[in-house]
Amino acid sequence: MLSSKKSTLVVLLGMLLAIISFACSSSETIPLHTMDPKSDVTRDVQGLYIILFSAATVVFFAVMAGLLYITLRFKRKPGDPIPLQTHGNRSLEILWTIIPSVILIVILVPTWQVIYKTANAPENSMQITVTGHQWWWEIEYPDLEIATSNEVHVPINVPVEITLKSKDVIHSFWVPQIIGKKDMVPGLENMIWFTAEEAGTYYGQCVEFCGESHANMKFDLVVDSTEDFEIWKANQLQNAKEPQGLALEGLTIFTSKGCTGCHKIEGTVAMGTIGPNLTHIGSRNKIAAGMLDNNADDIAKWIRNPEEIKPGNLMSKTGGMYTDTKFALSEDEIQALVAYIQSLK
Amino acid sequence: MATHSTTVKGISERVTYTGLMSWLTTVDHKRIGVLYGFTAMFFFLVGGLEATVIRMQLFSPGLTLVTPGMYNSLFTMHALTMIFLAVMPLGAAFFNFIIPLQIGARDVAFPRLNAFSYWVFLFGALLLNGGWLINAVPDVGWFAYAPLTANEYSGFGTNFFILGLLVLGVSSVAAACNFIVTILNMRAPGMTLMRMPVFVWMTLIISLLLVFAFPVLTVGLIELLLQRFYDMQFFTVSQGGEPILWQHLFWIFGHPEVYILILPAMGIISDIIPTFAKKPLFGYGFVVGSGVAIAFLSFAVWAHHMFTTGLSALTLSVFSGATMLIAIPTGVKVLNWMATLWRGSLDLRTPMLFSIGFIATFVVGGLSGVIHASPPVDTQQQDTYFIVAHIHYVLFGGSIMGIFAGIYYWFPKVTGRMMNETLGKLHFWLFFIGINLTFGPMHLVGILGMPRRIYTYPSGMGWTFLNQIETIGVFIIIIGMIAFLFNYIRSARNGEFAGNDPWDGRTLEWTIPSPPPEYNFATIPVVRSREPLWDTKHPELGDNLPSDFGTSDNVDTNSIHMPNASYWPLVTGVGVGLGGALFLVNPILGVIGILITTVGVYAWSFEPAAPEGH
Repeated sequence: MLSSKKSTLVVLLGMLLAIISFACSSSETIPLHTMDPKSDVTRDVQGLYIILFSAATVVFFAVMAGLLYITLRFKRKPGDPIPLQTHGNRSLEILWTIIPSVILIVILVPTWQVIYKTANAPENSMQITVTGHQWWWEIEYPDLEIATSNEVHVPINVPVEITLKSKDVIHSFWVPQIIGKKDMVPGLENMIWFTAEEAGTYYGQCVEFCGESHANMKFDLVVDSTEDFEIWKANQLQNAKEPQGLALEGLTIFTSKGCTGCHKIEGTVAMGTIGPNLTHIGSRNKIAAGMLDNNADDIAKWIRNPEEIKPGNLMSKTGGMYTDTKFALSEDEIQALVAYIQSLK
Repeated sequence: MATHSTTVKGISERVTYTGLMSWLTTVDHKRIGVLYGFTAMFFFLVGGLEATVIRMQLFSPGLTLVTPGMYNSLFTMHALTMIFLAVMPLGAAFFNFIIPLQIGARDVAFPRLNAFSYWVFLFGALLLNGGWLINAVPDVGWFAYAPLTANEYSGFGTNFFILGLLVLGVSSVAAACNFIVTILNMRAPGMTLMRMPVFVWMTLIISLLLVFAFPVLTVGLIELLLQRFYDMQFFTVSQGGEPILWQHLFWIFGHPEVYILILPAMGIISDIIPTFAKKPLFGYGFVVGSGVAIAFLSFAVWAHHMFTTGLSALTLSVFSGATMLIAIPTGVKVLNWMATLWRGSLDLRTPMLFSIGFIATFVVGGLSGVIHASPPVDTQQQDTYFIVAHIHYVLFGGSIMGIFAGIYYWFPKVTGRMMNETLGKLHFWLFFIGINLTFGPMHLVGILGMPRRIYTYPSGMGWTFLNQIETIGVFIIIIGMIAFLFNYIRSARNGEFAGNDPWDGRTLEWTIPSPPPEYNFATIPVVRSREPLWDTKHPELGDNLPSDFGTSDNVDTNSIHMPNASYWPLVTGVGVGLGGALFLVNPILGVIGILITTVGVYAWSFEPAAPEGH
């Protein structure tokens, strides 16, 4: 009996250690880790998270140990008499109504503090608007007059307020290390804010089920040093670079195949607003809303068959080169388009 | 198929049937309970199969076992099937079979309405699954958030969701009304409210929850139906609609629904633990009162499903407080179960193992629930696998464990035979290990940021190993399920005979033969304490008076007032189900369903419910 109790204790402790080691493992290996804060807001949430987890862990072990002890201790043995028929105990009932109430107060008060502390953005916050689309992100900096997509840049140590909107269905904006999720609801303008505290590239993903390719709606949030942000900003304010050689052929194909109907590239005839803005796509880390790396192979893969990467997407449903074999792209045309896309730094 | 009559002098013949027709026309609560049980168990296997495919698809990164569209259909149908077609009707199976036996009644208050509820449930279940036949399966999630359900963004499958749930709602509300009246009006003499077994109390509470909660969903479903079929844009912003309206309607139903799913299991184990501990339930009044408190609070917490939709700080604060309050009555229940075990004489047979297992796994689900009741924390947990872990600890580790406890406990009463203990214990351990392996790692993978409802994930996220453990856990659950089914079939045929009272029971159902005769009680018992059978067996242990169970010796059982069999509930149910199905073909054709229903209700109203002369 004693040994089984001891071994159970070892198992429980092992579980606790596993939980702690997972919770502490680094974000370098786990991009969407929810307990690795890199902003003021997520740090506040983390503090609360730890209070709640600790309270729950204590209760968990108390109940499990009690249940296990009672079950083993009072297991029926042959010849046991009928136990005393106790019906209850009022003092005990009151006691174990009060104990959880006290625990609740302990976790409710800091909960309310964090709710109000994180409710409103500081007044001087930098403004960004992110609009969810099936299945990509439209990004605008209204004061800086920058429009881009699928990669949010913010400067370090500057409060940033993001207005969240949706063009179609409900999406949810989430970068676990920088900001907890908030939904993008058609007809509403939701707000989030944060001050990023460590430069780096952080992963974001849509976390409200939004249709067939919900799993394929990701983005990067890049926290730049002050200098890097200025460089990024200056580049974003430029028109697209003039293409040369193969890339120039790519521009011709881009224009003649109807890509311009949906995509915008500043400084060209491409003024579409249905799909992502591609003006500086060559400078981004990823393409296709976080789905592929930004290299020649992956860009070609996307252009060749976007349906394979992001089933149900609008480009493969409405793009002439995918719906009509007459307009299908040749491998040479794809390579020219790749060169053009890569030139849009 | 011949009409068979039981002739008794001086009164008209009672209508009964034999063979298949006897099942189609039955109004016997026990047979209806069995029908509910088998149908729900079938759908439990269907929902389990859907879950297995989901888990196989997620076994490692980038698998392509199913298409994204199929994956979305699978998780939508898995939830709908488990909630509406497995756990709720498994609860209904117990209500039907057990409640009249526990309150000393010969049937429910409205036997034909009871049959009607079952048939409508069956047709609703078939309708909800109808999309599989024409490859238009609901794929918008069981919560079906607007505007993803608009014609613009979702296909025909969503219509099966709407009509299926509308039909199932008719069944649930009819059954709930029936059980409210049965429990309030049909109790044996002396069985006051505070002498009712806790399972009866929980059934009463669930029935009240259903009557208040389900109509809210019905309103939402009808608005969605009007939007999709008649262009009335309740949820479309550009035409003055409001997507968030759907979420409020859905969760005002959806949160009480969680308690509709868990309270039957709590009632079941509150009856089992005293029997196998040989002690009365500790703090009966507090356990019952906690159930009532949970029911009231369940209507005041719906917005905690919407913490990330942009609610104000005040709304977040109030709803997080209300949600955390539920931990108090829930904690009181857990502590009272543990106090019942304390200093008991614990017979760890299969029903008791499942009951203790219920407490252990349910507590995990309860605690994780308190964690994301805090809105700031929920911004990191909402729509991750942490929530998936939470609901499965509550609904599988809780509801399903409790339901299996009940199956092992009452199987001897239903069939007259005992289930095999060795296979039962094997089933329990496979389930207990399988549940923790499948759903335990989901907490961790959720903390590591894995979102719900994604059909695949890339490598390098830190999620692969945990997903593999989860999938292995499912196969352990499946082996446990095979052990159960084998045990069930074998024991139903060859199990040891149970006798009236195989567990040394405490409540009324153990005073009558197993399986019970159609009339249940030859003589209606007179109850004088909360645990009438136990107190009658052991007058020396307390100061409770023994109850009076009568005998069947001098009773002419043919003269007992019993309802006529009737095929009108089936006809009326066909009308409701067919109406829903035909509406999908063409709304005009739905009228045929209304006509059949009208004929059914009319004929039902005028046929004699019982032999005349009684």
